[in-house]
Amino acid sequence: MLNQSKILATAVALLFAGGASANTLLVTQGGASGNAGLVALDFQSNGDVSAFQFTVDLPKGIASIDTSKCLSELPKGFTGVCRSKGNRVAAVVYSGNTTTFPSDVVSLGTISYNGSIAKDAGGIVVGNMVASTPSGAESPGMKSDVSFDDGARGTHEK
Amino acid sequence: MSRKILVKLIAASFALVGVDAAMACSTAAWTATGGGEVGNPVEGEPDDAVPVARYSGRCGLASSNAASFVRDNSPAGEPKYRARFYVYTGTTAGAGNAVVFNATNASNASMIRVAHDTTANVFNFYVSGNDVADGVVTGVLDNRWYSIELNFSNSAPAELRYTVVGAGGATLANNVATLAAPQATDVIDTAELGWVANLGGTPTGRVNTDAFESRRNTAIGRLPRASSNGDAVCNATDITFTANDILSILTDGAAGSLAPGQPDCDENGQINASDITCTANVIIGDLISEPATVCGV
Repeated sequence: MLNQSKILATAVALLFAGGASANTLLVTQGGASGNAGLVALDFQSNGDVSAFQFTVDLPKGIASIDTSKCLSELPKGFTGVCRSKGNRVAAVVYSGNTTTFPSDVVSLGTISYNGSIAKDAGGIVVGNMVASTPSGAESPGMKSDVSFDDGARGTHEK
Repeated sequence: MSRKILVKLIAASFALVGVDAAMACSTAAWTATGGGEVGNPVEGEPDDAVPVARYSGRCGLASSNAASFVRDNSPAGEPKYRARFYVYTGTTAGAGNAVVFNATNASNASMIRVAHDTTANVFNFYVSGNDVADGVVTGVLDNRWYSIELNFSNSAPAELRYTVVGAGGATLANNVATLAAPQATDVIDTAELGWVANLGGTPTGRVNTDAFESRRNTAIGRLPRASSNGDAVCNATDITFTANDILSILTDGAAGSLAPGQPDCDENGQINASDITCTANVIIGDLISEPATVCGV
C-alpha cells in the first residue's frame, strides 16, 4: 500500500521545485506486492480549472487494471469517468457547475493492477492532458510528474 | 442568376444564426436565396423565454404545425444535389407522416421527400411525387435529433442515397440507395426544410430543424457530436462549454453562455447534466479507442 504522507511529500517537493503555477498530474507508483501494484493519482491545480483529462499508460504486460477507485477521492462538487483498455487508463474530471478545482494538492484516487512493473521497464507514461477554465478556454501549462514511492522520480509525457 | 453565384449559394450552409447574445436568431440566410419562411416557423435559442431546441450553434428552427418551414431557392436545375440537415422527431402523436424535407423542380414537382412517421417509428424517403415510400429507415425514436444526408443524382448512376445517424450517434442507415431511382430529367430547383406538409394522416407535436447544408458533389458529413465548442475535437474544454450552456438555459441567459458547437451529446433535444456525462464518455472513448476516434467517430 502507498504511504500517503510520502505521496504528499513528493507533491510538496514538486511545488517548491518551481512547478507551482502549472496544473500538474502527480502519478506515484507504489511498490508491488507479489504481482499486484498500485498507482496513486494526485492533481495540483493552479486554481482556474473546472475540468481536466489525462491518460496513464502502464507498461505493457499488465494482466488486468482496476479503475474502480481511480477517481474515488475527488473533492465535493466534482465527478468523473475513468476507464481502461489494454494498458491505458483514461480519465475525465469535471464540475457540473464550472466551479474550480481546489488549488491544493488533491488526491484523485488510485489505480490497481496485476503484474509487476520493473523500475527500469520504461515506466508510466502520462499523456493527453487538457485542462479547461470555467469559460472553456484551455488552461496552459498542464504537465505531469511520475515518481516511485521510494523517492525515485522521472517525468514521462507524450 | 449567374452560375458563379449559384456555385457559391449551393455550397452555403443555412444554420440559424445568432451572432451574439444580444442578437436574435434569423432566417435571413434563407431569404437571401429568394426563398425564406413559409407559414410561421420560429427561430430561437434554447435559453429564450420560449425555448427553441437547436442542434448546433445558438439557434434552431421550430415548427408546430404543417406548412411551416423555410425554403432555399438557390439550386437551379441541379442534376446532382447533396443536402445534410438535422431534424428533431417531436411529432409524437397521431398517425401519418410529417414531411420534414422536400426538394422540387422548377415546376414545383417533388423530387425528394423525407418524412417522419411517429406511429411506425420510421423515416420514409420518397423519390418523385408518388406517395409510396422508396426507402424506409426503422428504429427512429421520438424526441431525438437525427442527421439526414441525401445524395441525389439523375444519371451515372441515377440514384438517391441516404444516411441517417442520431439519438446518441446510432447509425440507422449508411449510404443506402432508395428502391426507385430519379428520372434523367429530374433536377432540383428548390429545397424546403421544417414541417413542410402532412402525408397520410395528421401527426401532432413539433418539428425542429437545424444545420442545413447543401452541395453538388462532395459529401457533407455530420457535425462532431459533443464538440460543444465547435472545434471538431472532443476534450475537457467541451465539458465546460456544455456546463455553461446548461447554466444559460437554466437562467434564461442570465448566467453562463450558449455553446457555439454541438453540446447535445445524447441528442435528446435537452441540454442537461446527462450531456456532460455523455461528453465525458465520448472523450474517454476517443482516448482509449484503437484505432483512434475523434468525437466518437
